[in-house]
Amino acid sequence: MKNLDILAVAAGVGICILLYCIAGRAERIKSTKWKLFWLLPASVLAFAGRFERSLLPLYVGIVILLAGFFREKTVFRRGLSIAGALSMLASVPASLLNPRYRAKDYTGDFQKGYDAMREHYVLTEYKGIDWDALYETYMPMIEEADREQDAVKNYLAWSGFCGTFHDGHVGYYCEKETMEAAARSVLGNDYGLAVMRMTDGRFAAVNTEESLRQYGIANGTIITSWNGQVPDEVSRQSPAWGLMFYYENEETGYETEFGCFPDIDNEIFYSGLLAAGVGGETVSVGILDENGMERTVTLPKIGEYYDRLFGTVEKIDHGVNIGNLEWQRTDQTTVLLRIKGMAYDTQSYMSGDEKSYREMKEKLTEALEEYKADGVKDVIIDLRNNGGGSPIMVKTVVSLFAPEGTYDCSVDGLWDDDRKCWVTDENGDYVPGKAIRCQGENLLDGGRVILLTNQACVSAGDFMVKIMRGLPNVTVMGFTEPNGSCQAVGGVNFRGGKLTFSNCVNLDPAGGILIDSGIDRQSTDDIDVQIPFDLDAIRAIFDEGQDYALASAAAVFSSTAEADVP
Amino acid sequence: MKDIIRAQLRQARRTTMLYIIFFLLAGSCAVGLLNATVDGASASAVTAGDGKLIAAFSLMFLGTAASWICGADLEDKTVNHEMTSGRLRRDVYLGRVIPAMAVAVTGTMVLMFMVFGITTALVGWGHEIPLSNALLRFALMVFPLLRLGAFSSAVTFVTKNRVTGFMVCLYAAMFSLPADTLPFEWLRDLLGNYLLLSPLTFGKLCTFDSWYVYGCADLKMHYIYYPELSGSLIAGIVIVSLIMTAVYLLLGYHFFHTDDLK
Repeated sequence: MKNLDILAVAAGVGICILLYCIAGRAERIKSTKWKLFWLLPASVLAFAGRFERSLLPLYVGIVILLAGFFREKTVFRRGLSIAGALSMLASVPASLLNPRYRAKDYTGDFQKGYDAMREHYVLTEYKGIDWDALYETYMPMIEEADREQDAVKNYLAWSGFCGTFHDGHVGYYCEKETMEAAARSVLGNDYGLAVMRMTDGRFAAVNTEESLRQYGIANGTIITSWNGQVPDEVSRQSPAWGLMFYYENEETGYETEFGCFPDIDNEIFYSGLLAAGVGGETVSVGILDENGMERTVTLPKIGEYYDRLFGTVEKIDHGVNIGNLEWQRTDQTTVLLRIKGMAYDTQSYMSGDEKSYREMKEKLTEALEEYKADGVKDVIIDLRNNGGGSPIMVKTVVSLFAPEGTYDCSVDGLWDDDRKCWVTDENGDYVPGKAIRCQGENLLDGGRVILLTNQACVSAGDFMVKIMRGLPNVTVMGFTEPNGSCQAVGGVNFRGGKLTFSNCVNLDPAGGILIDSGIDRQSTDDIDVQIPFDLDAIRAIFDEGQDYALASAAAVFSSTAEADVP
Repeated sequence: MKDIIRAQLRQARRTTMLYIIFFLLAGSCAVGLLNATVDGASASAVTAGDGKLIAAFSLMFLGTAASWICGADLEDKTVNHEMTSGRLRRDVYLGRVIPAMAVAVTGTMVLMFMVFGITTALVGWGHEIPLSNALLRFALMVFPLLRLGAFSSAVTFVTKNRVTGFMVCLYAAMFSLPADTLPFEWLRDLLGNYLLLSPLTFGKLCTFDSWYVYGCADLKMHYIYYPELSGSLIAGIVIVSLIMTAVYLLLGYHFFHTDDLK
């Protein structure tokens, strides 16, 4: 039983005892003011929370006591006190025995989210969404979660539903504990290693336990099979395949742990990862030993895969750990600018006016001028794990590094205020509205920029990669492409969670959907140089703890002549 | 009883305080609404967006009028003189409660109608919500206003004090505000989650379910409102308001009926 309900019943019974005690005195000492005491039970409602059927005896008890306001006989009022207290106490077993006591309305939440999404999701045709089929698949799962009041099942159903959109903006967010319990329930067992697909198509052990050395497995050991199958096939058999693990953090907002790959190339990059959780008490793993001979070892289960999987993703994908918009010198001629999110402060974030970013622009300009005076020529912008934010901030930052000139960045969809919808032409394509352009200021005086990105660089981060990749002085690098999701986002709040999805139209300057992947799952936000995820990368990341992507970017500047960089 | 009602209405007409409160509230509400139209928003847009705040402000007049009319004669003992000169308690009670509620509800409705009317005349109604729906909601407001008027009157009769009646009414009016418009988080939690009082009240009629989209070029928001009211909600508002009006009046009368003349 909830604490507030216990408090309400206790307060109600306490009032009954009080009224029983003063009933005699109220009759002896005549005063109308005594009547007011019999209105006191109504105050119990202040603790009673939302209406709950199991608490009906409590509400009835309150009404019973109110009768004492009208009739002043001691016996009558004492009788009311006893009847009221008994009635109120009856709400305790009623609540404890009712399986739907304070039940969460998972079905209602899903219906609400589904209805809103079906009406407002802007990529329905582009992604070929079959709403009826989705409803038929996921509503029964939600209903089961509702019947059993199982938060984990509810989360997994939402996660599967959201995963089918292959859109980084479609997500279900709840408290971290539920997400973690759900993830643990489907990620499987830990056998002491994770498996990653290398750029050459082979699979390798990563993030391995020291104890696996006895089996001849270390970081970089080639994995030829997992339980007799190719690892990426095994991944597809994992119950976690296609799910996404998002949660809401009270301090930092929305957090994405793992699992949304709108661009299929990014999905392929991580295609071996889920395999390492699939298996029973033991698993047979095919490896290539030091002599290049294939052999099979049997690994025992040592725990849950949850921490190893997220730890692996963290090691591969983390960016430089400094504050947002902070600088870090990497060598004599290069400086790094970290952009974790597209937000400077609340005021500018809420504004659609570029002038609100004046302070940020001045600070960036001042810092860059100082670095230039100190010999810096080139800049690495670290956009890894950039969760997005304001497109106006993107425009402001891009303008600093872009060579002089005007650049078309994107175009909003045209909104029809009378019909309350995004305008489409006769082919069903969105009609362009206002354009976003930026004016290059060439602050680097011909210096070069490398943009580091990864699959967790999404939304406005995706947008920045897209614009800057079109600039002549910029090279985009990463193990993977950015996320591939760039329509603006809206959402629905429930009592137990939040649903977000793309509900505002962003087009590219030519009028097509900006960045987001369609039915073919190929986003239009690509990279210039894919950093090879090979044995060197694996050993650098997992044995030496290096930021291999950053080192690769810095190596481009230090080893390549200026003219060689695109 | 009719002569008491007539006397109370005449007294209300000559109470400068009610006029001051009425025009102060009307002025500040009109300024607030017109300010919201500066960037080109239509009257229907500000009604849908800020109407709840204006309506909640208007409730201050309701509390003032109801408690003032019921409480003035209790405080200066006019009520005692009436009863010692042979008036029935029922007549004394209803002779004040009826005009108090009539003036309070009518005045509040006129105030709201005036403010929204002026705004509409100046900037046009627009198309955010249909006028017919706004008028339906406006008409339905009579019921929760009656409920709050009865509550304020009953409290004034119990406490025999105008200020208490007004304050309690003002506090009750806060329950009418949608939880997300309240200034403090603890207050939002308390009213939004821990009280049974919100679903079928005034606030529901002033709030429009909405959705918004925006463009990335200027972050300008475009709202879509869903103004339709379900039949069950309308029935709930009417039935619960009328029942609670009767309950409050009955409680007030029962207390007054057996109360001492002090």
